[in-house]
Amino acid sequence: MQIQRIVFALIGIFFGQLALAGESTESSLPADLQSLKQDVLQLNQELSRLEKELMFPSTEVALLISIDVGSSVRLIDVNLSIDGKNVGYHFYSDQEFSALSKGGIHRMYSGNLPSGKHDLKIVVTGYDGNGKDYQKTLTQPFIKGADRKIIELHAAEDATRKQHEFQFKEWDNG
Amino acid sequence: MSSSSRNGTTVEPCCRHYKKKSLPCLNSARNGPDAVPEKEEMKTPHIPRSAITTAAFLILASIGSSVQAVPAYMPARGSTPAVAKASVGDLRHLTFGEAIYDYYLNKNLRSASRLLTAKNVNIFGTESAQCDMLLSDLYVAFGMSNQAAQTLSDLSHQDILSSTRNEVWFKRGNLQYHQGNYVEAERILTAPLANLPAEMDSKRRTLLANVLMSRSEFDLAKDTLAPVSPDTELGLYATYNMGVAYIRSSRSKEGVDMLHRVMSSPINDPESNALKDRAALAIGFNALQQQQPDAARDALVNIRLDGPFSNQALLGLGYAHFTKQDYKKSLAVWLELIKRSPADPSVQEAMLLAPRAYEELQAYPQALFGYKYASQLFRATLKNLEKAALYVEQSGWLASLATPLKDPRDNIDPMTVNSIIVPPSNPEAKFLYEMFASDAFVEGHEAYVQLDRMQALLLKRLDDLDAWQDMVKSQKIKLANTSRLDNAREQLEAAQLRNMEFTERYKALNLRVRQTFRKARTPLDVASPEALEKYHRLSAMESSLLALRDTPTSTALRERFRRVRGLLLWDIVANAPEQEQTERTDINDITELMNLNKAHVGGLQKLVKANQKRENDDSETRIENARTEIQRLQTEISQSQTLYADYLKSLAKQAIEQQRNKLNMRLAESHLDVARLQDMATSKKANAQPSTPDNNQSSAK
Repeated sequence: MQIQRIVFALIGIFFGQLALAGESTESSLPADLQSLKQDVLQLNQELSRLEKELMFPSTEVALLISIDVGSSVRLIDVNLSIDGKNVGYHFYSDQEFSALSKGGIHRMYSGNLPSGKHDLKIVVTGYDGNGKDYQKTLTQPFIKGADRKIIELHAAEDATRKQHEFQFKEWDNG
Repeated sequence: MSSSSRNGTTVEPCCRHYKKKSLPCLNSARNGPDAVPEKEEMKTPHIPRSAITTAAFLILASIGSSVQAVPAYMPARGSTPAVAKASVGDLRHLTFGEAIYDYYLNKNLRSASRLLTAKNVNIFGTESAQCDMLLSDLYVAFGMSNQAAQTLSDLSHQDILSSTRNEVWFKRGNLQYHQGNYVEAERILTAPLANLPAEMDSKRRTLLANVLMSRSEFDLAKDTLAPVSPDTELGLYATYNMGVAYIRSSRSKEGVDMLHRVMSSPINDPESNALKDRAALAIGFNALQQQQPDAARDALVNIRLDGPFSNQALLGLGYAHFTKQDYKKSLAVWLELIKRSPADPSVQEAMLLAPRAYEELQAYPQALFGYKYASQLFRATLKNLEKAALYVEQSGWLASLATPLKDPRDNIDPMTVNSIIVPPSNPEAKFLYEMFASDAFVEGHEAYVQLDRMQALLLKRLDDLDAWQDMVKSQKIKLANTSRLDNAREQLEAAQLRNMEFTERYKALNLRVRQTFRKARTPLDVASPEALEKYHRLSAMESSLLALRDTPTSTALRERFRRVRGLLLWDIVANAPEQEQTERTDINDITELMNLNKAHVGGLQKLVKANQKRENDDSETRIENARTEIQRLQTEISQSQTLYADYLKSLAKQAIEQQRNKLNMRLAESHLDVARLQDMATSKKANAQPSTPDNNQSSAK
């Protein structure tokens, strides 16, 4: 019967297409791009290094932001001034905050400063554990010497006040 | 520094603060015996000299016990503390933290670049396990499975924690499996490591079971999957796979049992529900094949009407009713199906089957209408298919399939490619949806977009190189003016010499301050320069007084002198703590300034060195080499892009051709069915008419 023929054909097609879930299929792609990708990655990495050497010599100062892993106290934004001059602002989206709370460290500022004494002022806004917003102003003087300067602002969770406690860590990287 | 004048006499300021504090100033003009210090005007009690001396010493003793040693270069209270040098551990922590941040923001290229740069300068050293794990994930995401396998292999030979080792081992097996190297995958996954977490073990068993099923070793696969609970997402997939494998190998009963377990799973999320539909469809069609329409119906009615398998389910359900000669029910189902998009093969079949059901119900006019309607629709669908074919030929077709980017900067990260989204309004959307979901097209399209992004990345890097080249050129022009750099060097050397001199003077001053207040024996040891000057002026007066004849006046004068001197000593001792504090504060201020100077000099030294290096460095050569490499890669990428574009278009054309053939076949069938019904109608009419001479003659003709 014609109708049987049609349906059996359909069944045949169905079972032919019935693949195991997650089954890998042999690749029939026209070209293997792995070595090309490797070359691009290698080149990009070398150029990043060259860029760092040219743009950020020993006068580099970097400010990094980090928080406690698994922190629930929300960081909203950070406003950065160096020697009274505003040099950076960052608003943390949900995805960025999630990245921070998983151990990520955000390089908020990278710039060149002359050696000598400088003043860092950071205004931080966040939501505390009760959902209420708070703002803190932090100042940290530092001396820029011969080496590259790294400053990390770490926000630890204060369980009693359900806000952030901020700690500065500073390194010279020669 | 200030100068003061007393009674018209100018007193030279004494050395304090930034100069070496050695001897008290003796530059003050000696005043005459008539000069009386200001404090003389106050009425003071008579205090014996011995008492003053004793008191002073007692005070000094108490000061001495509280004096703290002031080490050299001690940072001042309230000033910046000493800063640590970044250790390898610190750099490792910071670098990995930044890479993790980029990774979770899907900036995979940046994350990979950071890690690779850090590895090249040996920041991770022998503790690169976490870095390598992340890199291997990034390589896999970028389609660099060889590199990922190599990284994991190197990692497995390192001395790492057991939890990390388990993860590395599993990733290696998983990678081999997805590359289709089943033998190697089986070898790795068959020998599990100790203390494997339950979830990882379940995944291992699922992969192994798939490998065994591909060899038709079902019993072994079943035993392997036994500990995996079917009520987990992984267990659900594993059970489905078992069921399908059994059915493929003609062990239908066991397969159907497995698929029933999938259907009755309590898990309720979109992916699991789609899998349940798929399982029901497999049972239904298997039952149809086995000529079991009731069983087929029972399975197919469970499929969601708005799910991805609903069209096939409706077709199968209609046939199940048709087989039982329940034509009305089959008609009802197929009439529902033909309302849907005619691009779907199940709908096209139903367009021919619904009139067939009408025929069985002897509703021939409706059947004829149905076949005619079907042929019209097939022709219209063929036209739309041709539009789709033309659309696919356009140059912008592949680019239109990429997901719109939230951040335009993402378009240069070739390691972060999102899934295909086909706008529903696209003419090819309804015809090629199966192709869009196929592994071949997904992988091919991903590679194509990656090539596109790599090209964009290289273009951006070319712009960067131009900017850097200009920068290096202008720097070298400035440096070619050698006098500038020579001046800087000279000034720096002079500053260094002065700094060394200050350092020596500072050390001596620091030592003196420490020792003065600790080892003071007389009040004069702790006197301020001004007080010391006063004392010396008084001392100068003493000899004159002593030389006087003993008269009541001279005696009174001597007595007054003694008191004044005593008061002065008392003042000195009383002010000693404050004086000490002042001097320490001065030392601290000097310390801070010395530190700042050191920082300045160090910074300038480094800059001069960097500029010297820049005079002869190879930046320009590196930039040129990078430019050449970029041009080579651009050519290679362009060639690969053409290959992939042709490949993807050929897949689309193939799918379109298959559909065209099927539609043509169905169109032909519909025409045949129309002709058949029309013939039947004509024959019936002819048979129904009584025979007449005219009819006989015409039939004879």
